[in-house]
Amino acid sequence: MSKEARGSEKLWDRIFEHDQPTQAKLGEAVAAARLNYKILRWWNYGKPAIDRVKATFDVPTAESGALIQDILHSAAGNKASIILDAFPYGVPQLERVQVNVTFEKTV
Amino acid sequence: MSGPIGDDYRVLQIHPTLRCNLKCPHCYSSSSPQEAGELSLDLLRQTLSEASAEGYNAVGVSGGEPLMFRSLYAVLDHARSLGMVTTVTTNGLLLDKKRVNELRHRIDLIAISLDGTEASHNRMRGNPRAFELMTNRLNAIREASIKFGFIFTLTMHNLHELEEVASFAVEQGASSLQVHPLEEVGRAQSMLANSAPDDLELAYAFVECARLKEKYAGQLQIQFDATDRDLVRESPCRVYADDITNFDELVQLPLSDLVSVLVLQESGVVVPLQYGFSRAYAIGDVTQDSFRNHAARWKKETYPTFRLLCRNVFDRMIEKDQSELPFTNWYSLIMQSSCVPLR
Repeated sequence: MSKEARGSEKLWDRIFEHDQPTQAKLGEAVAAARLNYKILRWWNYGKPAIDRVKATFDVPTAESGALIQDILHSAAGNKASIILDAFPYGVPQLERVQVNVTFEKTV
Repeated sequence: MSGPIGDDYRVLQIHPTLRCNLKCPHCYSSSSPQEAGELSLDLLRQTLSEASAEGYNAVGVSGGEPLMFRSLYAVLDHARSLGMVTTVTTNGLLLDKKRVNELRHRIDLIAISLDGTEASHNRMRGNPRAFELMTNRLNAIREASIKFGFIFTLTMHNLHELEEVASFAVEQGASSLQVHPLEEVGRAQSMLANSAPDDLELAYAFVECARLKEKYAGQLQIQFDATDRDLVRESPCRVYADDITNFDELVQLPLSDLVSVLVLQESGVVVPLQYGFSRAYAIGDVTQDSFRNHAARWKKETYPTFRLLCRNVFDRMIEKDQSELPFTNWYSLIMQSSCVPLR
């Protein structure tokens, strides 16, 4: 093992506010950190999380309601917020709907 | 849901060349200016098309330095035509306005390597001006409204620099900061031996990431690439270790349902999970046969062995006693295990 100090040793005061770190204190700190930061996935090198996806659907009007429901359901399942615009078009009767969707990860 | 990165993205990483304008001691692929070979555009297009048909929907181009790869734009165009999400991982030094403009409508995200404070970054990059040159390039990216993030390589010795890196990332308008443990493969194996963070250091790093995530909430997404033992224990499928009995049915599925990330190395060999993964588990060499044919064979012949490897690593991860530290580097564990014959 290299003799250079651990990075964590150099920032202990930031984590433990000058207390001497112990395994028990580390356990408490991890538990506290887990309350608001849980690692849900991990990535290979060079592959940062992409947290925004855009998609456009073009569907018959009659099917647009079901599609929008599916999208909202999917967004909820993925803990994502969603920006959704629907642009109806068709003359003289409404025939099709273009649905623009943006998923944004919230975790 | 399967695999460490979930179901949203099924990723094909491409390392089309080992040519690089730098020669970093921590490089996992031993890239350098002396390297010259690169994969052909035709081969890459065909492989991308067949990978897309197997369900891969995101492509990340790395290297080597991808901006030194002559067919980069054509590869990105092809990936885009297939509807794939595209990213490029770069040291940032070559991101001049001309290149940024070329990338502008071809990528979803630029990932830039950043190894610590200015002094640390320059030392790791082997260039006394690497930090300054990279920073000077960021304005062009911002002007082009390209989303970008930084990748920080966590070693045993640099966690204390993470706050400064996060602060820099926020100042520069980065959307994300990926904290990735050093992998002791490639050049790092000899140049930075014993510098990969151990599980104790990963535990401290998690606490620091959580603190910084709170500090920069709403400004910076912080991604910590360590594996949470509790999470894996609850969901073995995240490390491909859930029980499977119906291999015959699974071979009918697209390859991306079975494994992601895939890595296309500069040699033409496609391996699962990570650059340098043992060839014993390789999908195949696309210079010898098509990706499609290799994928079909891999599902039948290699996938059961791959799952056995994953199960063995999982068992070792969770069988340790309750005092075991909460995080580990699964990629490192499985890389090491892949080089040892299965028992």
